[in-house]
Amino acid sequence: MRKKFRRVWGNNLKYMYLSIISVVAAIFLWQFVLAPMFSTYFLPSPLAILKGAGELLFKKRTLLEYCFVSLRRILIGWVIGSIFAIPIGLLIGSFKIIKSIADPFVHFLSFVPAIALITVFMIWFGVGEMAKIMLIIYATGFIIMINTATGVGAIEEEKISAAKSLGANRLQLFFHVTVPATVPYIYVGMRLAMRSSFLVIIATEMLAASSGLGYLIWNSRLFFKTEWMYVGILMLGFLGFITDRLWRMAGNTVLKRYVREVRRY
Amino acid sequence: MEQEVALEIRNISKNFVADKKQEEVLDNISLTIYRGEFFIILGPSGCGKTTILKLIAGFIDPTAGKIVMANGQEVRGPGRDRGMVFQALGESLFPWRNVHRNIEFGLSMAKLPKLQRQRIVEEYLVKVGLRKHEKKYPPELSGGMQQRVQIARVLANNPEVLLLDEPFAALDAQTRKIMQRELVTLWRDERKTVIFVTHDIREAISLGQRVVVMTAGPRSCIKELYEVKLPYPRDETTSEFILLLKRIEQDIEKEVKKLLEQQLL
Repeated sequence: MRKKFRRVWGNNLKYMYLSIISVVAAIFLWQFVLAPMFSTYFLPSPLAILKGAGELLFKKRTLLEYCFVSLRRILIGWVIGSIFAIPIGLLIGSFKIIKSIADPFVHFLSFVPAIALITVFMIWFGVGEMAKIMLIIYATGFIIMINTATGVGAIEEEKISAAKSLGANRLQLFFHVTVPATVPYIYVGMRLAMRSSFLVIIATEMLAASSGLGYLIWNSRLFFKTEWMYVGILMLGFLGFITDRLWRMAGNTVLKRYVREVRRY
Repeated sequence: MEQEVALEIRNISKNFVADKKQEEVLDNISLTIYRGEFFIILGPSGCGKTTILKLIAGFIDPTAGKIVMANGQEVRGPGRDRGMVFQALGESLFPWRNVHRNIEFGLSMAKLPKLQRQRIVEEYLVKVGLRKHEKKYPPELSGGMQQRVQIARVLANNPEVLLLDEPFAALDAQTRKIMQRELVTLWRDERKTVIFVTHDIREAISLGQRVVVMTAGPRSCIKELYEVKLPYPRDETTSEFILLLKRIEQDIEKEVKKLLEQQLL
């Protein structure tokens, strides 16, 4: 049981207890030491935030919908971004010609933050879901692409030589060595990209949306409901934590044999 | 010894370009390797012994000269008729494939039917003593076991010539001894042509039927060719063994001295 737990979650139960204790202690500190020092408007207590969450959940019935909307945008963009970025990254890493053609764009555009393009994308793709998903694709794509191409470059010479002298042709070399050997870098790239898609979707929803967690955080201010704002903020951390845990779980199970050396953290 | 030729190295020279300077590594080397023999290339470090192996494997091209196989074909690039066992332990195995599937690699690339692959892999799993470990992944194996996988992977592919690049140099002394003995058994069993590179004189005399001693680089060439007519398994304490050891030791010492003088000038 313990062993299985560790295998799947990458944590020892003993250390898991320590993590839980540290979270509980932090909440107590906030409730009984920090919050009483300030007004609710400046820093609401955990209980006040919990009450706010109750309001959003049962009275306004918007919280679950907003979470779902934001998460859906993130996941769709992240998945589509990966579908495009991984093959392109593999090709950039494998072929000098493709690298030379793509490199200037990759290294120029990857420094233009998605947030700078919110307005441009709204002009191009409208105010609906399309623009938001395209922004996530843009934000995740470069991270995954650069990681993937880096991974291809990091494959040990011996692996390639060994495969060649064992009779692999170029296509087989690509699919049986390049791709599997690059999975650790793709895995880490996608994990980092998930973080930046959280960043981008919140910024986008703050500026141009009528739903989602970013919208909730931005608009709570108008109602002088800072508790709601904190509900949105904490939900983000919570959703991020869950998605990252699921991703790590994938790394500890189905992807384990590929990502062995990068799955520890 | 049968005098059927397995491969012929004809007037090979190899220069590398480093920092816009031509570096001459090998200078006009000719060697004939006979079918089924255990051939050793011995020399001080930096003498280009690995370069010869890479040239035979086809990982690099010669600057001048050529290598001709038994069928009259000139070596052009890597091929499954020349299997390579690398010095690096983990780097040359495929960590995402378990032991069984690592050994199967060449057979899969050749698209052999599944049953036949299964039979061959099992045969070599037994021969290298990894039957119980076939489901393990390379990072879970000891250095000696990893080298067994490498050897089995190459032998399963049934090459004409087996190339080994200091395969036991990274192993502890005890494991090295055992592996040397097992390699001789495998070689006699399989009747393969073996070309084995090492800087260890004892290893050379314990294993080889013929030992070529290289001069120190740059511009290495052949210094001396010894025939070792001792019966296997070889006893390192016999007077013949020790006599030969001393002679080769003197050869190598001279070369190393030359190298040091060059460096001091």
